Amino acid sequence: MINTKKIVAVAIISMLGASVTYAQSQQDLVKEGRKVFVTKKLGNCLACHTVQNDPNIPQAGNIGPKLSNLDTYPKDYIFNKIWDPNKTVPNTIMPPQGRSHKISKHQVDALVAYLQATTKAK
Amino acid sequence: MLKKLIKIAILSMISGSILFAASYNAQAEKDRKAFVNYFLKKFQNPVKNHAKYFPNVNLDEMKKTYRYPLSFQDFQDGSLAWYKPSREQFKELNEFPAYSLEVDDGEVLWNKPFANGKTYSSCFPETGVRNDYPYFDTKTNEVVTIGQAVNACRVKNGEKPYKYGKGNIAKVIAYMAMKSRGKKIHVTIPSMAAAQAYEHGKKEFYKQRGYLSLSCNECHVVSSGKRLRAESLSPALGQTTEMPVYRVKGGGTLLTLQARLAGCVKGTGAEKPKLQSKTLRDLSYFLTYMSNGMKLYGPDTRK
Ligand code: HEC
Ligand code: HEC
Repeated sequence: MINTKKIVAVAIISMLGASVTYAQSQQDLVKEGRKVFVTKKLGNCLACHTVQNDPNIPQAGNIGPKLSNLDTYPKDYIFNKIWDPNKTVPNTIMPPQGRSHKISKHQVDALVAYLQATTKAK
Repeated sequence: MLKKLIKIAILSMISGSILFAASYNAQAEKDRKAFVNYFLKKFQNPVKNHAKYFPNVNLDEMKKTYRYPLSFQDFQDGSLAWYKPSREQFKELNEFPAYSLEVDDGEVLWNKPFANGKTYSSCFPETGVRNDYPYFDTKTNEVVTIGQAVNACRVKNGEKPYKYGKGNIAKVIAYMAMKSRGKKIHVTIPSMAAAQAYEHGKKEFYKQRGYLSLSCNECHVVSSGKRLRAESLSPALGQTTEMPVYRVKGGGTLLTLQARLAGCVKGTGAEKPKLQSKTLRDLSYFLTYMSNGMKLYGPDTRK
């Protein structure tokens, strides 16, 4: 009896711990995504885009649409858009930075996390 | 009878070749008219045409910062033509233009005799001929840029050629450009080979390149009048009228058209092409042809 209680308690604690580290790493991913977004040598996405709930991006350009409500899209839609935008819009000006290996799969995942976290529909 | 036939044959050959000669630039003229029209329409009233040409640009920003309508000649000012904040900033800068020192240097170089006693005027009877370049040389079947002409003159007179892109070559061209201000660009397409060089340049203009897969067209036609980061993008029309261009960025450098083109190619993530390569010369031929009839105002200052 005591044993089961203890086991359950341990299980709960470890679950909590896992979700804490999960939340932590998600936060890190969002942070990393923002860095890829604004860094010239990485994604340089701000060259063309502003972001709905992140108005403090410095010197953002206005060639692409303001990125908004992306939490309403499936993750893989956004991933693919960033990985190779020519697939959906053949003559788009948006560069295929994943396909051309300028940024990695992990960095695109980070961008997706950042965009979904900061462009939530209000 | 036979005589008559021969006569007809000869006549038809002559008229055929006349027709042909007149049409070397037919395609280019068609392209140029469409090119000019696009920009005149786009910048006639950007606020009204917001949805068509500027869907992602903030309308309030446009109302505050755009200058319009633009006339044909207005396009000589590049990004300063339409973007008021840069225009005002550069008007001030140009009260004492940094390039004037470079033009003075250019004048000294122009008049200083070579070791053989001759000067540049032995090759260029007139100084103000910037508007004739680039031209197509029907003997060598190559596009010749003004930089090449300057260096050819040096070599012909026993001097070492200048390094292309910036420095003395840009100074000499700046002096020539100053003397050419107000003259109209008139690039000609005198032969079939010239038409081919033009077509090659055109292809290079529309080609997506580099790991960013970007074309000149995407940045300087479709995105002209928009901002890439904080950089207001110049319309391709008129882009070659202010060369060589004094760029304030990075401490201030006077750059030739060749250097400017190479810089933009590199910006797409492609390998930087060699100055005076066939690609860059043909590209400058196409690009300059598009601005035919526009008055020169070089050198000028840009961000
Ligand atoms: C040179 C300009 C440019 C750059 C750089 C650029 N984009 Fe884009 N982007 C566009 C344009 C134009 C569109 C709209 C046309 C299209 O869908 O391709 C777009 C569309 C998008 C969309 C789809 C938006 C929607 O609502 O459907 C996303 C997501 C996006 N971009 C993210 C990014 C990210 C992330 C980066 C950097 C890794 C980036 N973009 C870099 C120009 C650019
Ligand atoms: C990624 C966008 C981009 C691409 C692609 C690009 N450029 Fe540029 N270009 C710029 C920017 C930014 C500037 C500086 C601001 C301005 O004057 O437009 C510039 C400036 C220039 C200038 C100088 C304009 C002036 O008034 O001094 C010329 C000429 C030029 N580009 C030609 C080209 C050609 C030709 C190509 C294709 C090989 C090309 N560009 C490709 C972004 C680009």
